[in-house]
Amino acid sequence: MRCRRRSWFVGVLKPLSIVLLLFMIFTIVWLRSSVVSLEYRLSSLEKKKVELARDRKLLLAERSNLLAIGRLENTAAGSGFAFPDRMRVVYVKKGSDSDTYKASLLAKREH
Amino acid sequence: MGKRPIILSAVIACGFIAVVLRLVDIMLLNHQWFLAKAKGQQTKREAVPVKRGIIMDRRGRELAVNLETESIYCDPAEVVKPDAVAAALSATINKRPEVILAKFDGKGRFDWIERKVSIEDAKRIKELKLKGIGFVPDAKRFYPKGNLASHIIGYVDIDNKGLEGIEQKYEKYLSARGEMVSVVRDARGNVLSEGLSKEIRGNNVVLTIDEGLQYIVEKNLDEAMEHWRAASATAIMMDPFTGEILAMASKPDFDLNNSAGVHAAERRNRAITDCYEPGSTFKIVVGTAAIEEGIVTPGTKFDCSAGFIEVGGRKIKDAHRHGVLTFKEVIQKSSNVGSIKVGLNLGREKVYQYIKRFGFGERTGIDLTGEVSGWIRTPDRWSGMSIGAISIGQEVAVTPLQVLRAYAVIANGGFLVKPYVVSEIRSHSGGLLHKTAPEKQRIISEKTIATFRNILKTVTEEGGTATGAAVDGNEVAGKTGTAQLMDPRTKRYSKDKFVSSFVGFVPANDPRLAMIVVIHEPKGAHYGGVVAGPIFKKIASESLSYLSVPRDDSEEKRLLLVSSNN
Repeated sequence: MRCRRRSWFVGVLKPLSIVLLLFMIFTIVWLRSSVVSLEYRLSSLEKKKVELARDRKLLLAERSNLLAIGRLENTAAGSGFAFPDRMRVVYVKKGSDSDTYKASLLAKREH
Repeated sequence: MGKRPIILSAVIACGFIAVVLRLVDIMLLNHQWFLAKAKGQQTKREAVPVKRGIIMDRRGRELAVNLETESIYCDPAEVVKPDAVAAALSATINKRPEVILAKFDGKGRFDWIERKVSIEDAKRIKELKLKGIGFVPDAKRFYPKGNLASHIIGYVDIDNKGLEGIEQKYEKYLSARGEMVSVVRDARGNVLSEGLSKEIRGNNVVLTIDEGLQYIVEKNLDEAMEHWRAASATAIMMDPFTGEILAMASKPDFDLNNSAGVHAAERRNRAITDCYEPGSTFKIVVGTAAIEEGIVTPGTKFDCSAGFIEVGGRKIKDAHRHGVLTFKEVIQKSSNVGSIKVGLNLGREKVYQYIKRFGFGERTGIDLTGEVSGWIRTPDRWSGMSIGAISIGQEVAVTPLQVLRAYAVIANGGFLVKPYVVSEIRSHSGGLLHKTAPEKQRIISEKTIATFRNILKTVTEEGGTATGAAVDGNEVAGKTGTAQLMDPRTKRYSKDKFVSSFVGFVPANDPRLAMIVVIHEPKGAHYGGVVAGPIFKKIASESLSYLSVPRDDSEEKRLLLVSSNN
């Protein structure tokens, strides 16, 4: 009785071990190939990142060039803007409160 | 068992034995050799891209940045149909086919075809899939402001090594050492990433220069060059209290993005490399020395009515004949006779002592390349007329920066400052690596400075030599200078070649900036007050607006009526 039960167990265990072994081998192969394909994807994403960083640098350089003060002044002059007459510029000291002020260049009258 | 199965089994067994033997060879006997060979095929050594640090102005605006480009090389042994390849390359990179073809005749396995090609052009060439042609990523220095501050920033060579200006002086901070890394690749040469993309970057340099002020200075110098048809012009603007250079310009200048082929004269930073005789701006030395030594007061009188004075057998004249002048008027009207009399009262030793005290004859120590020390002889080598000539700014050679630094002493209350153009060095991630601390040393007493400052204020007032330098709304203290240039043919002072200058600071009582303007060989006029004074006025006026400096009288005259709405 015991002998028959053991032979049945061994009979099941053998193919199960073979299936398990094959499964493990394929899992390892699958994992390895997944890592490699991920590395490929990462590599192509990195390439894209480098290209985007390159474009960003180019755009920053262009922005810097466009924001050159000489260029801005020429553009402003073309639009009718002029450098302010400093004798007519009023400097208001920043106060702690948020009140609005009236400012005038006329001399303040003594009361 | 038949014969055939036995043979088949034997063949299979032999096959297996052969495979096993080979495996033993690969995995046990010659393992190391095969491992090294496999690694060699699967990995590749790649250079990590190196980028120079960027140069910024004091407000963080970029003055020098990097652009990514590609450099094209060839392996002559691999090139197929050289004529066709040369023609194809020539169409994109604008280089004659013969020049490219000549590179294919080389015996080596590597030669550059074109350095720093734009990414678009490189892409176009890559699409042609030319055999024997390769590409290497390469960074190109780009100066977004073109000519602006060209003499300060400097430029780099084809290998991004600093050659002039800040690019050269701060090379060790801006550049970085490259390194090689191993990357895994497949049979087709595709790189397998390990998730680490590296880039080596140099440190960033922050200047004391302000782009806005630099632009104002350069714009006005360009106008002055055109108006006076001058040979060259220089202007420097400095914070008199710290020595920070806010703007420094020399004309002619050059485009930093096209520095190849530019004449050496255009590359010279004349503010620190060119010496000139300062003329009357040098009278500050005898002036302050005489007050400091208690020899004169502003009211001390000098008889200048003769219009000339004879020193060491040489007759030195005043530009205009004056009568009896007080010491204040001597400076205000820039009398040569009066200044020489002051110099004679001081004596040669004292005059020389004060010249050295103001830092003349020595480099200022500014952190730029090419600075010269100027020239001043020791008193034992002075001739009989030297005391007279030196008192009025002759027989000495100075740089514009030295003169400006001397006037900064009057502006800041008596301290000799060390000028500098780099305020900070930061790592590419923003960490502070170095911050320049201002250096100053007291050389004149505060009392003398206060007296002399009041005298310098009169120079731009009615009766002074530089009314044209007066700025609307703020008092200017300064001094004009008109010096004759030496004629190399006659070895005498030229009668039509002058150096006109104005140096001063504004607002006079609470200076925000000290500035010098020097115009070489103006045509049509030559007096410093006429030529350089108005340029000083224009630059100062625009700069004070830019810096939001209110006019002096805004509170005193109560021009500003401010009332709360509630």
